[in-house]
Amino acid sequence: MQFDQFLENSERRAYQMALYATRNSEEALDIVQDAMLKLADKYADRPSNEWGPLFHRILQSKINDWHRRQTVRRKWLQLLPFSTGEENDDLIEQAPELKSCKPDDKLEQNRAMEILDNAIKNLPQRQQQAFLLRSWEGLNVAETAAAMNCSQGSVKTHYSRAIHSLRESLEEHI
Amino acid sequence: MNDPSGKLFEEKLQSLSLQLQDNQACDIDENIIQRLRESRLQAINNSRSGNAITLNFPAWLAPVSTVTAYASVALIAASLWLMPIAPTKNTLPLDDLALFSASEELEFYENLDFYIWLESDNDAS
Repeated sequence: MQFDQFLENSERRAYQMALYATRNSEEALDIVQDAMLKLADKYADRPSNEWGPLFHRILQSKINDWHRRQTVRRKWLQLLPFSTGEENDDLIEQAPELKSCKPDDKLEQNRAMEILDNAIKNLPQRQQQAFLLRSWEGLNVAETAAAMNCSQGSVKTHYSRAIHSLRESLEEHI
Repeated sequence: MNDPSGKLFEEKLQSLSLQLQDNQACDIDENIIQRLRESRLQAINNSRSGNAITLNFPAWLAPVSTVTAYASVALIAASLWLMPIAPTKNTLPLDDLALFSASEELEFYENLDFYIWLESDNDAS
């Protein structure tokens, strides 16, 4: 597989994952752009089967960095006397609504997808990463651990908790 | 519950989540798709320019150039260490310093012409 073809195949899913994490399209775009640039700069000459785990390792690191910066920013904002706490509301409002591009889909299936979408958004960050990497990207436990920079045991724990949480939300719908 | 191991649920969840991913990919705004494309092209161009530099400077050249640089520095240091220190013309000898420091002797040398004339005059007389 050519490098540009790999990026073309990955960019939309990467954007969607970053969007789930940030709930902000501009931030998600920046994260994906940084990840693509870094992959191209450092690892374009590596074997093509390594690009996937490397790209997601970079992407998840960028997402984690973004979360750390947001946490610090929120802490500082809380210290300011004129802080109103409207930041989080804005981010939630910016999150795109799920719309089906297939109008003929069954109503119940759309409802299930809408619930799944919200449930994924509400997963804790690491559970969300583990679920999306395994479910969307098809990475195995070892590759997911490499992408998330954690042990395989942690991946299993995060994934299992994610599935448990999603099951609670979706059980009546699927 | 008919699915105690959760395998059936997991399979359905997998299918639904992939469908969700497809639908969301369809829903991505055209402006976002354009910007993702631009980012991708920028990344590919960067990687190509990076490869061009790599071709100009083969990998084996890096250790060779490092060794050459170290050898050059060592050679310069050794030659500076072993080079004999030649006296420079600009430096003042200690005698001159002593001369400048003694004001009486300086006065003597300033009047030297007078003393020479006086001595020759005495010899003549």
